Amino acid sequence: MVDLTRRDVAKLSLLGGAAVALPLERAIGGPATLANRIATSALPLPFTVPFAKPPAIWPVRSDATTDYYRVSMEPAMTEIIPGLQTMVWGYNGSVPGPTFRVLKGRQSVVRQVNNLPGRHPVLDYTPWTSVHLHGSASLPQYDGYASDICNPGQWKDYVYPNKQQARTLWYHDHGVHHTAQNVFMGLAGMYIMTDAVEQALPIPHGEYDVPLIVSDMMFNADGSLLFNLDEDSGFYGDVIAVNGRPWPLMKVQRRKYRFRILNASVSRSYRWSLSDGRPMTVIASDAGLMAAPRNVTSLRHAPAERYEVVIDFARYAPGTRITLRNSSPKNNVNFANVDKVMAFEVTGDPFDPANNTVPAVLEPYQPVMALTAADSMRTRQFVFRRDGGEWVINNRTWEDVVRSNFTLALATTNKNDVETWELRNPSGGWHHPIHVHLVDFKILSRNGRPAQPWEQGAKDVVFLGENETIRLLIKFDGGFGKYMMHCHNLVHEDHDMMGQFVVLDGANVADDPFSVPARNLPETPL
Amino acid sequence: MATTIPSVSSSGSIDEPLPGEGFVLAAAMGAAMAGVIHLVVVPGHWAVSAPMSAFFLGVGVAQLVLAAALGRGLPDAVLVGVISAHLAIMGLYVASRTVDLPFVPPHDAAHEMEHLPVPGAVGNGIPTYPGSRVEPVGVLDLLCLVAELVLVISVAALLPPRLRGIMTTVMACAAVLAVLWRVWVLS
Repeated sequence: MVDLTRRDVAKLSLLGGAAVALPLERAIGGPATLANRIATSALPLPFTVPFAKPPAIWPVRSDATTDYYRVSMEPAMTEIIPGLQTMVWGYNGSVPGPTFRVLKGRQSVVRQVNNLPGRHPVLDYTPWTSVHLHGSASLPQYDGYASDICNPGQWKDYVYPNKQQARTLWYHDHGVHHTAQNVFMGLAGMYIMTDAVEQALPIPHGEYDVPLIVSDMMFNADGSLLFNLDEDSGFYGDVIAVNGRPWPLMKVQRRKYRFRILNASVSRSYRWSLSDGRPMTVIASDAGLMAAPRNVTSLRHAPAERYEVVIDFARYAPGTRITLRNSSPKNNVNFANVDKVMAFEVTGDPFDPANNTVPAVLEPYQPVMALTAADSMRTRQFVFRRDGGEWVINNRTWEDVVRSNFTLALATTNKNDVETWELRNPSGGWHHPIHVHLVDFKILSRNGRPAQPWEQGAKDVVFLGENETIRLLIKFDGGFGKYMMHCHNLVHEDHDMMGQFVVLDGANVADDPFSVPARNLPETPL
Repeated sequence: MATTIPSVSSSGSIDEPLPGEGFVLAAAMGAAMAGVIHLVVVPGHWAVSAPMSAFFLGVGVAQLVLAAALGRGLPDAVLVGVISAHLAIMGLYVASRTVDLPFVPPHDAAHEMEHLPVPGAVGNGIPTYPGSRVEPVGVLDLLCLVAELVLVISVAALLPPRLRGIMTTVMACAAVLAVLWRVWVLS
């Protein structure tokens, strides 16, 4: 006789229930990556962690023309969330990396040694690197060409000419396929180039010239970094870190400070303002000092852009606390407290009154800013859009460049030619910070209107907003060879919104990006 | 012990409704449906994972053979084997929908394969995210799961009471352990 007892039915129901419920629970429960995200209540309260500047780096030796540096890309344990240890990857183990301060006219040689582990502990990829000095007109083989990689256990000497105007540059990883992850792990730092013009200005210098490297982060409950992709559209963290400190508090004296703000976030863009609504003075953008300062009450800041902003704390009484706020541009993913960045607490301490002004004229001789639309010899159009699961430029990806054996170019031009590049984003669902290597450019127009006040200086990254068309004026006078252009939302970049352009110089043969490959350890003397 | 399914006469024709015939029919239908679904998904998985496609092919064919064989009467030992095998298959299914299985390719495996090798590189350099090897739940695979549940329950019903009791207890324990494990993971 075949029959099922009630007990049988009950037991089989358990099986059926579990078999159906477990997969459905997982499907409804959301991404596994977020399952261990640290609770907001376990994060530090904003403005409770003291501010700190990144460490400085010094040459290991110098000669008549060149300063030589050695940097080890390596894992390190650090305390970002108070009470928890976080494993990061830093240049010399520091996140952000140590700050270079170099003088225009002196060449730098930076040895980068990849001492990272053979595999990423969570994401299971081999962390090769390619170091890009962002803002430098470096030769192609030293520009961090994405496919010119340095595996763990290899090293490469990068040569930087430092021949441009004073500016705030930054160095970061650019290795193909996992730039976003490497930068998120900490591979980014500031590189400040000064020159006689900048040093002669009575603007804040020395201890009053302060790097602010802003990035958003996310953590697991155990303090480890949590990298969560939002459907390949970007990474958006719930912690805003300045120089690796979450929402820090900086004590300031009653005078002017110059802040070199670098948005080192993987994807997040910001709009800065002060909590009391008073203006800040923008004195420089990506490629150095502007012709004249601009007072703004807020400014938008895309990934990889740099703005130098002077804030005058003399207008506040001792004990006043002012907050640097972020009203997020649209299409970021926001969390509690990402509307705050850091706070300044004004003290009554005595201060050095030197270099405490912002003159009406800063740097009137930036070459690219002297160009006009009439100088343009041709116009090119570039459309940045999503195509299926990929981000493309004029329907091309970096994979197309690889497939062409690195010959495919989105544009080929001649040295010293002046061109208008029209960048178009036909989507309302996302924006793109577009970076053009090698060159400085001038923003001619944004949707037919003038550039924003804070964009009135030479730049190498432009915020290409939703449904925007931007026209850039570029003179290709920085060098020649193959150089990349790409979206600096690093997730977009890794999912292939990257191409290259070629600058020709008559019959001269350009250096190949692969002409100085990384070498296996051990190192030779530097 | 021999099977308790006296389903066919000596002439090979069905004489009359017999106890268990409904379970045999349900089991055969469950096996057939699961087998067809497994075969249907073979081509779609081929580009991403040949071993996985081969697994689906093998399981699909076996289930179709089982569907045909059930009507002929099977020894209890084979029925226990059928239940055990399907518990393993369902366990694998549940695991593939809840945890990262190392032998399952990540979701963007097809995207990975579009990339050409990087000159001089170690590995392909493409990050693999926790959860990216967890397969999404779809209508077809849920239907397959239900078919396999029907198959397992029906086959269990065909076992003699004592053996059935043991098998259903094993199944219940497996279910409880799976749920407890999931609760532990989520906590």
